[in-house]
Amino acid sequence: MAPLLEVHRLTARYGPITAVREADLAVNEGEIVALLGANGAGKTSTLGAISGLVARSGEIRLDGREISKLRPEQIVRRGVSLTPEGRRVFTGLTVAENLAIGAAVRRDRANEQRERLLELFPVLAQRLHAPARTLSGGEQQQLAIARSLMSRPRLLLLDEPTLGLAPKLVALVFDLIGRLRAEEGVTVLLVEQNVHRALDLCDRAYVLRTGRIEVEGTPDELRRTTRIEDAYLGIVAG
Amino acid sequence: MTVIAVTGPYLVQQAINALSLGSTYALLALGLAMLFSIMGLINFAHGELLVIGGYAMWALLEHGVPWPAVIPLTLLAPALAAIAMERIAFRPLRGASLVTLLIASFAVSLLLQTVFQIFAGTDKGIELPSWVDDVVDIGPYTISVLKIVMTGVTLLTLLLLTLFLKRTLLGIAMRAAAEDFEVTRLMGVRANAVVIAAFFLSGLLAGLASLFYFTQSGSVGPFDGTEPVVKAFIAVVIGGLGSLTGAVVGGFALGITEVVFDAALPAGAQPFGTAFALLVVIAILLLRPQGLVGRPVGLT
Amino acid sequence: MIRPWRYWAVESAAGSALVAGGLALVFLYGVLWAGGTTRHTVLFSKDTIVYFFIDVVLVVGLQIFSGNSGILSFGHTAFIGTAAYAASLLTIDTVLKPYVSPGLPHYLETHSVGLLPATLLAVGLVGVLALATGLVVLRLDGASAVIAILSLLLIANVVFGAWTSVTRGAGGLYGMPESTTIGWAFGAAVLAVLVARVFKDSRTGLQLQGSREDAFSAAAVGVHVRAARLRAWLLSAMVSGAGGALFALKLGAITPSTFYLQETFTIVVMLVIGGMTTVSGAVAGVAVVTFVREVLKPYESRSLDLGVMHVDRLTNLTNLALVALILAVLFFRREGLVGRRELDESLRRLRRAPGQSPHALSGRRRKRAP
Repeated sequence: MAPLLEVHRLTARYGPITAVREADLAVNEGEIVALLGANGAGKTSTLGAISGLVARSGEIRLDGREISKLRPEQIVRRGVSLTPEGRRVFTGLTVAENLAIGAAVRRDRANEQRERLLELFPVLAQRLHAPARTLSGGEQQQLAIARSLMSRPRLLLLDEPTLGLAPKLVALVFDLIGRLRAEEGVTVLLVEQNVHRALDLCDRAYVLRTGRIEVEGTPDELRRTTRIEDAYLGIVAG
Repeated sequence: MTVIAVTGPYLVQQAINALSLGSTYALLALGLAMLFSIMGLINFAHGELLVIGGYAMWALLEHGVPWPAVIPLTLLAPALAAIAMERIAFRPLRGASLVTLLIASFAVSLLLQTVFQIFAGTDKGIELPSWVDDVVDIGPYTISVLKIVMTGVTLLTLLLLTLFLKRTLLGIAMRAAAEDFEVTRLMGVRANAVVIAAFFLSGLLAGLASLFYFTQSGSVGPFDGTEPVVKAFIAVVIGGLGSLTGAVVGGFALGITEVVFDAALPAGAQPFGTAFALLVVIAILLLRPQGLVGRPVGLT
Repeated sequence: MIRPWRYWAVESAAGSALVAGGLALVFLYGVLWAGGTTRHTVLFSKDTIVYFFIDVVLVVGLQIFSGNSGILSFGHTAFIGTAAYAASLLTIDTVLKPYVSPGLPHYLETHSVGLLPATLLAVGLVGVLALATGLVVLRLDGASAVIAILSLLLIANVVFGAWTSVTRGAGGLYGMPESTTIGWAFGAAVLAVLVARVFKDSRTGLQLQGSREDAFSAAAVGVHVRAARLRAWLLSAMVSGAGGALFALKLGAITPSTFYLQETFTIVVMLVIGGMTTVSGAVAGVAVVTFVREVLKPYESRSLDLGVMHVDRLTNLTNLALVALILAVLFFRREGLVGRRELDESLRRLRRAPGQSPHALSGRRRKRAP
C-alpha cells in the first residue's frame, strides 16, 4: 500500500538560508513516525514545509496527490494538521472558541468530534469557557492537540509536543498520542527532542542533521547504533 | 477668565456633547483598530472612506433618494471602497513591514484626495432632514435629538459587533487572526476571507461615522477626512494599540478631553484646545505606553 | 563591519564626495545655464534648483533619523515649520515687524539679523525642542512612536495657527528677505549630505542601524537604543530645521498650511522613493520627484477630454504621479531606487576584483589601529 505521506528531495528555505536539504521520508497510514535531531537540524522546518508555511521545493505527496504547491489553508483541507511548536493556542479566545476555529474546515459533525475530544481530554471539558491564557502549560498543549484534531486530519504533525512540560505531563502526552493512533486511527509525524521517549513510542524514526536525513530505521535498529548521538553531538560519522 | 455656571443642565449638555463626539471618534477608531490588530495596517486612507460616505450621501440626496434608503447605501459605499482598496493596494503588500503598509496607505489617501479634487472640487452641501435640529426637553434639560440618536446607535453598533466577534465563526476567526495570523491559517481559515471581512467592517464603521459626521457639518469636501482620521489614530493609541475595546475607550476619552478643554479653557486659550488635548495624549502615553486598556491579546 | 581605521570619518566624507559632486554639477548648471525665475528654453529654472537644494537638506535631515532608526517620522515638518517661523521672525524688516507680529517681545521687534545668524538661531531653537520632544516621544516603539510623532506635527500646526500675535495665524508671515541664494542652498545641501553620511557611519549610527533590525537584540548586546535614537533625533531635527529656515528665506512668506500634511507627504515620498537607508537615496529621491514635478507642471493647467467625461483642470497631476511612483517602489523595489548601499559603496564593490576582501588595500596606504 502506498504511504500516506511521501516526501522526495524536499528543500526548505528561509530567504537565503536553507534549513532542509533534499530530504526523503515516508509515513504509512496508521504509523507513528518520529523526526529526531539536534536544535537547528531542520525538524520544525520540515513540518513547516509539509504544511505549506515555509518556502519549499521538491515533491510532497499526500495519498499520492501533490501538495507541495498548495497554500496552508488548502493543505489543511486535504487532511494534514500541524500542531506548532510552543503550543500557540489563541490565548485571547476561550477553550471552546479555540476548538471552534480548529473545526473551521470540517464543520460537519463538528459537535460530535468535539464531544469525543472532550472525552479524550477531560481537563478541557472542565475549562471549556475559560480563556486559553488561564490554562497551564500542559493544558494548553492538550488544547493545541485537540484543536488540531477538530478538523479530523488524516495526518497529524506534532512539533515538540512535550517541550517545557513536567515529566508527568510528558508521560500523559505520549500516552495520548498512542491512544490517538489506536482509537482514532490518526497517523502521526512527530518531532521530538526527547529521543528515548520518542523511540519508545514510534514505529520508525528519521534523524536529521543540518537539514539532511542522516539515519533512518526502527527503534530497535536505532538503539543499536551510535549514529544518533553522533548526529546530535555533531560527530562526523565514521 | 470666563465664569462658567456649572449648573445641572449645563453639565448634562456637555456630557451629551462629550458622548456624541466620543461616539464619532470611537467608531472611527474602531474601524482603524480592526485593520491594525489583524494585519498591522495603520490605514491613513480611512479618512477618505469617511469622505466617500459623505459623497455617497450627497449624491443620493441630490437624486432625491429618500432617507431610509440613503442610510444603508451610505454604509455600503465605504465598505465596498474598502474592499477595493484591499484588493488593489494592500493585497500585493501582504506581510510587508509596518512602515511599508503605512506609506502605502498614505499614498492611497493622497490618491483618493486628488481624485476627489479633480472630480468634486468644491464642497458639496448636504441637505439635512428637518429633525436634525430638533431638541427634546427632558425635565429641566434641553438635549439635541441628534446627539442622543448618535450615542444610542453607536452603543447598539458596539453591541452588535461584540456579538459578531464572539458568536460567529468569522468573528472568532478574526480575533484569532488578530492574535496569530499564521496559526489561524494553519487551522484552514482562508487568510483572504479574514482580511476582506476586516476591511468590509472597517468600511461599514466609517460609513456609520460619516452619517453622523456630515449630518452635523452639512457639507463634504475632498480634505474633510484628514482631521477626523488623525484624531482617530490618536484615540487608538491612547486606548491601546491592537485592542478594539481600547479603541472605543480611547475614542470616548478623546471626545471627553476635547469637550472638557473646550469648556474649561479661558477664551484666549481656546484655539489651543486641540494642542492641550494632544499634550494630554502624550502624557497618557508617557505614563502608560501600552494605552489605557493595557496590553490585551488580540481582538478583545 | 570592522573599523580598524582611526580616521573613518574622513573615509565617510570621501564617500559622500560622489553625491556632493552630483550636487555640484547641478549647482553649475544652475549658475551657468538656468536663467531667472521662469523656464525659458531651459528645463529647470534657477528657482527650481534652489528649492531642489533646500529639499535635499530637508529630506537628508529626515533620513538621519528615519533611515537609521527605522522609525518613519511624520513629525519632522513640525521642526521645519518651527525653524521657518523662527528664522522669519528674526529676519523680517524691523519697520514691518510690529505690524506683522505685534506680540513679539520688544528686543526681537526692534532687531533683525541676516540669513546665517537667523538660520543658526532657528536651528538652535529647534534643537532645544527636539531634545524636549525626543525625551518624551522616543520612549515608545513601533506604531505608537509613529502616532506620537504625528501628534507633534498636529501640535505645531495648532500653535502656528493659534498664536496669532506672533505667527499671525492662518494669514502667516510675510516680508522675509529672499536671501537664500543658490550658493547658500548648495552649500547647505553639501553640508547636510556630509553630516548625514558621517553620522551614518559613526558608532551611534551603526548602533542605531543595528537596533533598526532588532531593537531587542541590540539592547541585549549593550546598545543604548534610546540614547542613540535621541542623538539621531536631535541631529535630524536640526538639519531639517536649517532647511526650513532657508526655505522661509527663499519663499518670503509662509503660512501654517505650508508645514502640514502635504509637505510631510512630499518629503516622505522623496525619501522612500530614493531609499530610506542611504544618504544617496535621500538625494536621489529628491532628484526624481523634482524632475517629475517639473515635467508635469505645464500639463496641470490643461484639461482632459475623455469623451465620456471632461475634466477641467488636471490639478494635482503631480500628486497622482507621486502616488504612482511610491506604489511602484513599494511593490517592486521596496528598498528604494538606490537600495541598501550608498552609491559610492556600490561603485567600490564593482571595482573590486571578485574574491577580493572588502578590506583589501587596493594600493592605498592605511594606518591600522593597534
